[in-house]
Amino acid sequence: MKTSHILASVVALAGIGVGIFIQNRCNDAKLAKLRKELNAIHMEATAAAADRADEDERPQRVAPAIVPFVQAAAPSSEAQPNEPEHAPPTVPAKPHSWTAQDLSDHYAAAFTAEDEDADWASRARQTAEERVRADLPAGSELRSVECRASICRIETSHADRDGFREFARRAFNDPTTGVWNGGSFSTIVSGNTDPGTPIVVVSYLAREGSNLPPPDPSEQP
Amino acid sequence: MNHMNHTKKSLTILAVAALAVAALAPVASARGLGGWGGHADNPSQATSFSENWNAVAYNGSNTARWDIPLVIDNVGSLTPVAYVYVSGASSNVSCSSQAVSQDQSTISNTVWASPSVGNAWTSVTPGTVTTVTNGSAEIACFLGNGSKVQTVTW
Repeated sequence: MKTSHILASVVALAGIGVGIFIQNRCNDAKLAKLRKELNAIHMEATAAAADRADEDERPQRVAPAIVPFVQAAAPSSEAQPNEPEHAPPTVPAKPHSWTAQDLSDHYAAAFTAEDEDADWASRARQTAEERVRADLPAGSELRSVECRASICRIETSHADRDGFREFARRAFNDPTTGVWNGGSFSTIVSGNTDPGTPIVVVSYLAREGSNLPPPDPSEQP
Repeated sequence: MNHMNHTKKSLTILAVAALAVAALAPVASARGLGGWGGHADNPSQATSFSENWNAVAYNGSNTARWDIPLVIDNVGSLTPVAYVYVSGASSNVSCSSQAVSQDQSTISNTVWASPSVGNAWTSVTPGTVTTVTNGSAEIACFLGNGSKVQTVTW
């Protein structure tokens, strides 16, 4: 190998080494600049957090991942809308069965929602009062009758369950003694478990020739 | 070859899944019962009813009530339909359905409905009743002489 070739190779290697050195210096300078910028951002964020902590001394600034169901469900002046992480965990849907209370609530709501048809309501109330009194067994009393547009609400009391059953059969299930031919729903609302206490019953009776509106499955709680 | 096997396996899994879903899907079913599956509401009138090809026929005077219990598969609303023969005027048959809770604290009834025509085989649909958990339901029909309840469906 010629000497000139060796020298050329050394010079080239030296050039490459110098190039690498210069490149490293440039990278170090860029890294230093980035570190400075990051430090500045960190300082600003810390200062802002300190300011917010001074303004609001509530102990918990960050919403917990899971909020107790009662806390999440309870209405509160501090309730925060649009916070999906506060929603109670979803519970798998389970088959629902209608209870007497569900049905009672349904018919009560249907009755309450009606506007009054004054003409029909007046006549219906009078008729219902007369016929219900005729159907009451001994020890039973008529407490109230209220009619709206297509439904009457009748409240009665009975000495015992036998009295209730006798009344329900005569007033709503026997075409020869019934108040009128309409669909009905009757349920014991109090006195169900205390012996000696009169049983209070609320009945809903549909207009003659009509049935009560059945509950829609979508109403199932 | 591998690709073919993979495709076959996927199709098989899909077919099995579809069959499983079909097997689990609720089947739209209807219950039915011959009229003779009931009983006289007043036991003293039981002898005035007779069986006739699964139907119940009333042979007495005036009218008498026949009660037919309805099997409940799922708690909810029932709309029973009685297929009847009306002897004479349509008012000689009238039916009502009712639901009662297990402790008899809640009772609901529909109207008493009569067929629209007399002297004919026809159906009567009194309306819908909603049963509560562990409750029971029935359809009751007043029948005049010569009238029948052939079936009840719900």
